[in-house]
Amino acid sequence: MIQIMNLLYFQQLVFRTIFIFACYMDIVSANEECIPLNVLIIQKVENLGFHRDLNWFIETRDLNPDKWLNSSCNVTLKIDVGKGVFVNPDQADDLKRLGKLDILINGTVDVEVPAHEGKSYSVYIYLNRTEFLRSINVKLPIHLRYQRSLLGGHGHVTLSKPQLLVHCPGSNKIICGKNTKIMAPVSSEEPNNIKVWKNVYYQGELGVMELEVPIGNLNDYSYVSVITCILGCAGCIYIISLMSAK
Amino acid sequence: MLKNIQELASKPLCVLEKWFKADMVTHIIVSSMIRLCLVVYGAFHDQHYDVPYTDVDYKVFTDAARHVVQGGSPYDRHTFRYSPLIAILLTPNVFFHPMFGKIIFCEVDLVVAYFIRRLVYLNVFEWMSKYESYASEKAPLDAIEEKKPIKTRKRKGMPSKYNVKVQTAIYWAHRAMLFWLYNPLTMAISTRGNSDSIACLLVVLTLYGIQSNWHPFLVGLLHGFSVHFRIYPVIYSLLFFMYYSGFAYEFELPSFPQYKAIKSEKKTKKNKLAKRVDSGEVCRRNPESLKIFATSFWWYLWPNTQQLMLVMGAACSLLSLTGVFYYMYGYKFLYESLIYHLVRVDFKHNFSLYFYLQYLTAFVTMPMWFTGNFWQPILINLPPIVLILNFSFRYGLNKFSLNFGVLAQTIVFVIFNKVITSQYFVWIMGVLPLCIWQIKLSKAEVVAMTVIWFAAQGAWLVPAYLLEFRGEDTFLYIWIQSVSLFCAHIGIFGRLVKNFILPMGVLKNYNGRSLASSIFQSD
Repeated sequence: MIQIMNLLYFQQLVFRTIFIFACYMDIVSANEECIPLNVLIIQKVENLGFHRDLNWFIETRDLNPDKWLNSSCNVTLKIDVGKGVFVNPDQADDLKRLGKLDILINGTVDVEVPAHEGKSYSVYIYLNRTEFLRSINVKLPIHLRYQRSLLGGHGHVTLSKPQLLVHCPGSNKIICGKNTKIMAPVSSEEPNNIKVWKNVYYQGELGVMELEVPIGNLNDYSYVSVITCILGCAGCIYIISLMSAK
Repeated sequence: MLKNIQELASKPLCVLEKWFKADMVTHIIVSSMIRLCLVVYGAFHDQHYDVPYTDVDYKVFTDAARHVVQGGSPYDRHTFRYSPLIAILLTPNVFFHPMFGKIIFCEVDLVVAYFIRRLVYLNVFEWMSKYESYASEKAPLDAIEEKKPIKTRKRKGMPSKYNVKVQTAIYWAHRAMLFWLYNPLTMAISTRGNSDSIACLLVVLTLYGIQSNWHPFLVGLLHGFSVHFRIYPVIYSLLFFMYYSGFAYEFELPSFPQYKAIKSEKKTKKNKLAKRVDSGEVCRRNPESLKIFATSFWWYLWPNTQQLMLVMGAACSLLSLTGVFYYMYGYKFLYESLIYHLVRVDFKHNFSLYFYLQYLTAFVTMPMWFTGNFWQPILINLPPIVLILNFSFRYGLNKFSLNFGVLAQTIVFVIFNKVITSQYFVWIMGVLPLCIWQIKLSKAEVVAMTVIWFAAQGAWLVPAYLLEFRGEDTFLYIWIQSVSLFCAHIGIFGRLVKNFILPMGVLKNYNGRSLASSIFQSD
């Protein structure tokens, strides 16, 4: 009985030792070969009104070019588009066709509905690996939806913080740091090929995160409705009177 | 010296005049070359600029065509709200060349120009022939005989009356064709890939069929087809129906048996109209027939054989096309191509008088009694319905005012519409050339109306720009400018109605000039 107990204890000891050694080797090898990503993202909202441009300046620091290019890792910027904003799929297609933006809209976009009927979806902008070594400027045109009228002035639309995702063909462990994992399409050409991406921390200067949209004033309703309806009828009567006068 | 300057100044005008007098084939070739250049430029522009030259609808058509090629439904493409025929027609965009559709639209433009020319020629020639024959038999004060220009010319070896009629008809037909061919709006619409030139062709072709005495069933088929292709021609249905009525007439003259001069019994001497009636200058139908609630009025709606054939033809093509495509694409076809256009509420800013009211009430309930959600649709929809019905009887019953009736109904449909975009004006441009020989406006009036229209549009664009691109709350100012634009539209339309010469009953004198002479003025 005691012998059996000793044997089990010995087996456990061996397995634990092997496991600890394996973990140690993994950490050592990862620390030796992992690529540290030190990224700065500056976000600016350009233009006013219903048609805006989201502009991101993305800069990497101390990124080893050889390691990065050999890694074959891909980088994408994930933007969660809220109800009050939309990215026009036709415009996105044009930008893609012109080679200005490698973009994928993950979801159905109804460009006609107002803000309260809009649906959220994600937009992925795949960044060029070579350009990522230095700095990249990305510009995404967005459009604000009409909001239901209230008391005039401006309504507000909040932008979400963009996420920087990295996916490496072999293992995402090649990128240093333990980050959350996100499932996302591997490229804009393969929207159904979903892979695990690493959500990388970055230093962000995001600036304005709330946009203003002009909205109608319900106080105008009384005279706008009366004048509009009367004018329509008056126009009709005027034309009929002209014909009758002949 | 002064003479030389005058010669130099007049030279470009002479060149322009000579150019306009070039034959039809030359103009067709030149205008097709211009359109081809614009198509090529559009392709270049789209490759190099963020804001594309090509209309977004063209992309929608092409995507829908792609779905058709892949064996799917064109309505799988979001915002495709047209007949499936347009997607089928543009399938070569997918497997041949993406510019194929634009070339087709440009070719359709040229066909429209051809039929405009044919139709105006037919109208002018027929009008002059009938007017002349009537004048020689009945009217003692016809303008032609009064002025006697033709007799004098005959003596000098000038063309005969027949030749004068041909030349006059060609003159107006040519003008009408040029009006369409070199209109920047129509050129832009086709070359940007908008399909409205096909809708214009179907309307013009239907008018041509009616006035060329095609069989009413065939005309009905064509009309049903055009309603299927684009819903708006449905507004012409009653007008076409009335054209085939037994009550339809050609001239409003006192000596025509079915019409009487208005007696001046009820009129005072202060009434100018009464004076003109007394002098025999003005003549109208029996006022009894103009009263909507008069019993005789309802007889107008009692169909004769021709009218029945027209209705059957229209129903045949419309129902069969709807049935076939419903079978192929299901309810989505019915909703997107038909129901959507009826229930659509566009709350985004546009030229329409009703945009702000629609936006304010789009997502809220208004319990106010004077408009509210019950009265508002009635008050918005009633004026255009009343006008379109009125035009159907007034212009449909006159054989020579059918084209003007279509023009008037189109204008009313556009300016009273709940949504107005620039492309809607192409529908007007398609039928306006057919009526230019009948609308007597001085050059000053034309210039003034053009300036007013552009000024009103420009004034609308300022607050619209501030709203859309500067984010300023200018909804109220846009509405004020929409009101002024609507007034400008009504004012201009009023001038057209007022200066439309045929059905007004003033046959002898028109602003001191003879009506006939104003038509004959071409030579």
